[in-house]
Amino acid sequence: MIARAAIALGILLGCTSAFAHKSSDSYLRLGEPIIDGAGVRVALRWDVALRDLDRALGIDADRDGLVTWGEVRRADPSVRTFLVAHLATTLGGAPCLVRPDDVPTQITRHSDGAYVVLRVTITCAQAGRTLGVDYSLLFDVDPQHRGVLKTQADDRTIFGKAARHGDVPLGAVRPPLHLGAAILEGVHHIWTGYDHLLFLLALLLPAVLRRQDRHWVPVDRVRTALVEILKVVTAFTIAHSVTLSLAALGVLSLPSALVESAIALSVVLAALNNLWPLVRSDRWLAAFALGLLHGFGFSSTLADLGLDRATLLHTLVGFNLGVELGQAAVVACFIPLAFLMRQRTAYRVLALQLGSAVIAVIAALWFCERAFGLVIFPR
Amino acid sequence: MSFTARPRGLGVVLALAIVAVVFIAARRHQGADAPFSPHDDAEVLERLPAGLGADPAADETRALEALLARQPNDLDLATRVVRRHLDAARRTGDARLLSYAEAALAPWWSDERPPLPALLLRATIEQARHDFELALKDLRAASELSRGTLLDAQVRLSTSAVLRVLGQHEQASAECDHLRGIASELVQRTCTAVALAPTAMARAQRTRLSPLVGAPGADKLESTWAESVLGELSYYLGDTADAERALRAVLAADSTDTYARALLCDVLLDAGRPGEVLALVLADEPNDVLLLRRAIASKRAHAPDAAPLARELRTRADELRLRGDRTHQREEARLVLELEDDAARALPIAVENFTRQKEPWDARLLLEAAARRVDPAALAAAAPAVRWAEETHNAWPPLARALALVKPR
Repeated sequence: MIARAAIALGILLGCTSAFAHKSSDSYLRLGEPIIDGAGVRVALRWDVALRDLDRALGIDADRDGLVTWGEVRRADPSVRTFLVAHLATTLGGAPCLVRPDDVPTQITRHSDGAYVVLRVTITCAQAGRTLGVDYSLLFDVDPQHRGVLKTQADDRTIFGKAARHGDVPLGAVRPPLHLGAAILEGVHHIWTGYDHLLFLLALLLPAVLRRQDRHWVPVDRVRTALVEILKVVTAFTIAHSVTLSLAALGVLSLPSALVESAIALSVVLAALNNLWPLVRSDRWLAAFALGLLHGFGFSSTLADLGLDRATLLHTLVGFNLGVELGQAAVVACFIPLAFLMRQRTAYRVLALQLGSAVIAVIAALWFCERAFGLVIFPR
Repeated sequence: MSFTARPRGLGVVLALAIVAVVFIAARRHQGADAPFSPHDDAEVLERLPAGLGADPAADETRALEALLARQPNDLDLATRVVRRHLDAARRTGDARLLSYAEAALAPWWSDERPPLPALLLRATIEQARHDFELALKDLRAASELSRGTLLDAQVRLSTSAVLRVLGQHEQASAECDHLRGIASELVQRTCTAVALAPTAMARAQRTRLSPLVGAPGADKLESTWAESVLGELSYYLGDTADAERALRAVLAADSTDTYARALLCDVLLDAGRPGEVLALVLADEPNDVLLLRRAIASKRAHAPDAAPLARELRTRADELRLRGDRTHQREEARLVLELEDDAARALPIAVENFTRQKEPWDARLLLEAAARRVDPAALAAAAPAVRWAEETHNAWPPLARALALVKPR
């Protein structure tokens, strides 16, 4: 019987050359080091597979084979303790402090399943160019586990059971994001954050026109258009500044998946309103309401910049200012063009109608992607 | 205001600008690993694979592991844990399970001369990981200890399988001769047939093996294995109908047999029947080897999921590469060659792969990649596969076609 079983195992494994999924990895992404009076701080994003955490900590608490978000949240304190206990760092010969940030743990997906995303700050008293990293996660339960660490300069260090130590080049240490840099980040974000840009465009397109007998007709004076635009843009700005600040200060938070889906939906609504106007005179009110939503969207970008308590206020102010400046630049380019062209049929047909229709379709696809997890646009 | 050329032009420019913005937007919005916060506590984020999740087998494994944690040097206990993980690995194709098996063998893993059972299990894990040279070294050591024991048959079988992958067919066949008297005739014949399947002896092996398959009283597991080997032999002999019949019979007996399923996909793809592969492997298949076949079939059948599947496989290959894993190069070469249509990039991967493993598919991929390049350097790179084909006298039709394109006249 034993011989039989032994043979069966040999036969079957001899044939199996097929392996699904990779082995276990965790992904560590170091941010840019920041230097100030207190020393050097480095932000770290750390992705660890739920499967691996379950193996080590048993986070599938009810043992039904399904790891739910509730189980992850309940295990979160022990996950944080467990992770930072397996990462030690030194800079300039002195040990650094590895501490999870005070932000909620998130989830992401890699090719082999769901991972938690933990944000960590490494705080070092001494300065230095090379961060000594000792990584010891999971090797006792999974000897083939690897830690894949990437720096901003794309330097890679692979940690393994037999290679637990790595010297990671930090690159140039920069001072904290000063006001000017934060403003530039804000401008950059509005110019590359296409959903906000499309939303703004959908609001601006009809600003040089008015409704008369169920038709769009050009406004007579540039003043009329400017007042309308000023109302809409100001309402949008105030609204998103409020929610951005609240979210950045940790007062309010919304699930990012929900926010992203809702933002896409807001773009659809703004564009459709140009085709079949429902909101006419009080468009600034609609802009205000939807602006509240967009503020939450900005806040997740701000979090990616590596916010820390010490620099929070001026980063927030600078970023917000940058967003407004970027927005103002878009408006300044758009208004003269639109005002000059407002009399032309082409403006009403191609720019307003076709443009709004295209915006609505694109945003609807975004909505489907974000709300239902479909993949529509190619990566 | 009448329509004139200018305003229409401006309108078109505006519309185009919007479309351009949108296209760039679409690209930027796809951060592959963008983090998110689920809305609902009940949202399921991960399903633990069978053997690690909710089933009784998983509970048993956990109980054994808890026991082993208290007495890690208990080899019998460790052997039971390793077997369970290896068995689950065979069924699910999950590479993490091999690592769990390795963890259970920790006290013996780095030993120069561990006891026989540990040595054999270590070799089995190395073999499954495509560390063939390491596996062979351990198996050679094991064969010195196994003579006269119940484990000898398994040592021989494993050694033979590893030698075949390394392209040493005669030595692989010689290992099977040692099975006489310690394993059934069916196992011995099947072992030999596997060892010689890539060679000119394939037809003779099929003739010798087929009367034994399905004979009354044969062990079911052994018969199924022999049947899948018959399928493989028929495939190499270009006999699609027989190959398909045998492999479908194997899958009817054991639907989890990944090897037979992948082989059947290849048979159907070569026969120009990609549509049937779509039914054989679903688009959410976790196993890379099967998903690759599915993606090729989707592409050839012009199915809408062809492009997303190719991207998914690319992501998996990139993440493997990132961790320094080079064991999936056969699959990667085929991905690059057949799905990404890039023979120039496929060729070096196929060349490196062929230094590690020398089975018919490895030779075929190298020859096909070189055949699409047809420059002198590519032809030179394919020389090892040409030599392999000449030495084995392999007569597999697709391989022979690629060989004819590559071989200097």
